[in-house]
Amino acid sequence: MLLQLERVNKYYGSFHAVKDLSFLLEEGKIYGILGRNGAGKTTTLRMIMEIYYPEQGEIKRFFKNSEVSYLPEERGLYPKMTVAETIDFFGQIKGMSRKEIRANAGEWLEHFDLGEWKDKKVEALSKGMQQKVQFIITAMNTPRFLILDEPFSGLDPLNIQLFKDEIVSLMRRGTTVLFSTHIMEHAENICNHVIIIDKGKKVVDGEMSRVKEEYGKMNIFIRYSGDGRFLRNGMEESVDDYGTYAEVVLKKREDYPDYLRTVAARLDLSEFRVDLPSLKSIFLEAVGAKGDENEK
Amino acid sequence: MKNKWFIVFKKEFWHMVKSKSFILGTILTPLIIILFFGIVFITQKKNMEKVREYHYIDETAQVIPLLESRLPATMKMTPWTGDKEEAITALRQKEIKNFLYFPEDLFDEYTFEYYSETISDSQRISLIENVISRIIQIRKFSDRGLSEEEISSLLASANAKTFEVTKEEGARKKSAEISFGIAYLLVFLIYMSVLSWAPQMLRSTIEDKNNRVAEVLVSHVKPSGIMAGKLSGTAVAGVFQYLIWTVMALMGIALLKQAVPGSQVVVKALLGSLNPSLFIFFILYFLMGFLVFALIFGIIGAMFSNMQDAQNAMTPAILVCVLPMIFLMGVSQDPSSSFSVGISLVPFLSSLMLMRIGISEVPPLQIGLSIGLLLVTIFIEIWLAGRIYRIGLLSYGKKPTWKELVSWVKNG
Repeated sequence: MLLQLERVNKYYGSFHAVKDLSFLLEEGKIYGILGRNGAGKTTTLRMIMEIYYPEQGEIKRFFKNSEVSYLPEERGLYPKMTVAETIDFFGQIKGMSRKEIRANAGEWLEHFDLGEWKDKKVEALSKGMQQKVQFIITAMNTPRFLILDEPFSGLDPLNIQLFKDEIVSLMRRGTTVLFSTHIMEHAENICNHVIIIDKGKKVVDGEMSRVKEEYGKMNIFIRYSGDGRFLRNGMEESVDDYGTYAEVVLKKREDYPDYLRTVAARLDLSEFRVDLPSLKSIFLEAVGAKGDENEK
Repeated sequence: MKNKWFIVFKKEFWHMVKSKSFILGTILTPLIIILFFGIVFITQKKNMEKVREYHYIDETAQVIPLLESRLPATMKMTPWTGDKEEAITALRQKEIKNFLYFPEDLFDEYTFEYYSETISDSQRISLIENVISRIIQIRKFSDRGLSEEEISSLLASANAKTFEVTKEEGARKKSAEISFGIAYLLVFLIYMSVLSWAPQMLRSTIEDKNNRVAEVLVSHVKPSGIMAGKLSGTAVAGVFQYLIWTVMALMGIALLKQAVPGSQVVVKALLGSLNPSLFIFFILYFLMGFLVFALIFGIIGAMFSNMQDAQNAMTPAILVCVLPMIFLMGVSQDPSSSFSVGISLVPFLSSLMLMRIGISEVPPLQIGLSIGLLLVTIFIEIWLAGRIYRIGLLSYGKKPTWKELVSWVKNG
């Protein structure tokens, strides 16, 4: 075990930001802590980093300070420092020796396409490049525990993929990753485990595959020809009919064999696929906030 | 592994020392001082070396030979052949520049007339006045039958030899002006250093907040470590600047010794009156004075997100910085009065204690009390700063209310 939170509570004045939050992290996995804006994700991560302390509850850290690395949501660098100086300074702050920094920096910079920029001042870099530098200084010591607060915000799709690949690669090298996001698609394909919190309270906590099985409705994709009205027979919760194909959500998961028999008797089916629910639909179901403006 | 504060210290130090403002300030400040004093010195010297012609009418027919023999060669006396009115006309028409009229009754009335296109040359006018007074006095004594020796003895000037009386050494000959001058200079140095370097803590803290690096720093270095790094980095950068200036000054003195032979005596006299214990106290009060104010500025920096908001909170702190300079003259005139003792014990005005140490004998108990109070203040500030830092560094955008500040201190 790497970390255990037991009934943790945090208040800002009269505002109860984190309510009785408990979860534990095992080594070598990628954990996603999901929730809409203001759900208490950043406060939770800051408490894990001992920037804030909980008013009630306990946080058991089974790692040393030098073994954890943290990328805060409010990201920043010294604009007048060069990229090399930045990596040197933050590397030392994170406990690396200058020898280790020198040995690692070149490889990381090349990997992130920043090799030619190492002697340039940070202020001369584009925002995307600065985010890459921030990621490098957070991950370059291949920490035992990596905490990333909204790591993908503001990145273009190419860089999102680059960061995701790097997170998975770090996990394969033994790093446990805990990252927060309010964009479910970002967590969908890299998390082993998800923790969903809403208004400071945990609503979902489990292995991704188990959560997908337990939560959410049965989603069915049907390609057909015939009268689309036969798609509706009382077993469905919703039907999005597009004429030649339809997306159907059933009220009960166990109804899908009966539903298949019923529609197959009346329509000519060319495709019938049962999909696991998306993380987004699980999230929406869990927090009961379908169509919430904050959710993207 | 190195202490984390040391990494922050190195970063702060190099960041400051490599900044354009530091480089320009280090080079330009002595240049401006040299330029300023150089211009004043050269202007005065040129003024004194310039030969000025004084036309005169001497109705007494006795003053001029005596006057000429007592005036420097740069003041040339030329007889005016016309009458007084013609001389004034010539002056008005700029044919002559100065005109002296010694009336017949000069020895009775003690009055002569001086006409000039400018009457701002006070040094030369007072020189003429002094010489004329002396001539009249000599004449009067001589008329009463006194010999030359008797007259010289009567007119001899008195010189004060100043002694500072201490318990340990008894009466010790000391120049009051030099003692005061050195103490004043040291207090002024503390004042200037605190005023120019302590606010750097505020700038540096706000910079961390504006650059959004505070959270990464706080997550890996304890707030007390960040503060220690920043404080020491700023202080060492300040000391480094003084070191550069000291080297520059020593080089200047060496050059002065070679260029102006007489200056050796002045330098020796100045160095001779330096008191080593005063310098130990200077370093002590310099460091503690810097800490007291730098911590306040650090706390202000952690409280606010931008310089505009911080400026308002800085004003009272700067006013307190300036207070010792306001009380300096009062304290120096009566360093042992209960007012001077009381005020110099206030930690924020501690440079006044240094002034008292420099010019009088301060009881060790008072020095101990002053240092104790300073240390207590510094510890309270460190405690407060640590708590405000942790939360303040991460609060962006809005000014904290007093209620919020209290909760930061309670929860930090």
